[in-house]
Amino acid sequence: MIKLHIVNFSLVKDALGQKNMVIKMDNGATVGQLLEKIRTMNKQKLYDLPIRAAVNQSYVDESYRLHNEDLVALIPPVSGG
Amino acid sequence: MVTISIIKNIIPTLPSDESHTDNGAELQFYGRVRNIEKGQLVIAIDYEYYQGMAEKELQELGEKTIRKFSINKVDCIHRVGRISVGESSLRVVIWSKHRREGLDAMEWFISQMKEDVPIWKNVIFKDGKNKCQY
Repeated sequence: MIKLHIVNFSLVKDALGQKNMVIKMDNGATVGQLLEKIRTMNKQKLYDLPIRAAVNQSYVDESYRLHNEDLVALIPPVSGG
Repeated sequence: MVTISIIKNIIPTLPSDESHTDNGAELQFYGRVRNIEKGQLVIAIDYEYYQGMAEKELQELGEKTIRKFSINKVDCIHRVGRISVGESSLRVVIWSKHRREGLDAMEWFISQMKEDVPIWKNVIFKDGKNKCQY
């Protein structure tokens, strides 16, 4: 198993009701698998929401393989300006 | 050259600077909080950001903008926290040899910022409701 430190922002934070979480996944798990698990936590609010992931503060795609103790940010569409 | 910062206080206006003798164009853009959003009265916007990554993405975007448009300097300040209607949330200044590349660079920089830089708006309406927006 690997332990992931998750940080949620904006609409993801609202849907999950928390900014920081720790999630355990199987060794070799990908970002795509993590997002699938996250979406099951609030299907109603997260079903249609595009979410990008950043690992250790860099964007990664869904095929990225996660490592133990990674810091994973769940990033809904941004809206600066 | 790229200078970026994310601050919680009021964004200062740019003082006059005559030292950019090799730049014929100096473009300043201020983004402000407007009082109406989709027909509803707004009193403020709360800006949330991912500290560390937002600065890194802005810096990289500024560097890409300089390479893509052959401009000379990008300076960007984004304000976060609660910003009242009428106040500035964003200041971007671009210096370039000629106006055309500066204007194009400004449009591109701001558009890309709204795609990649992890900053979010939560609009506070006068009726007490609020809504995260993108």
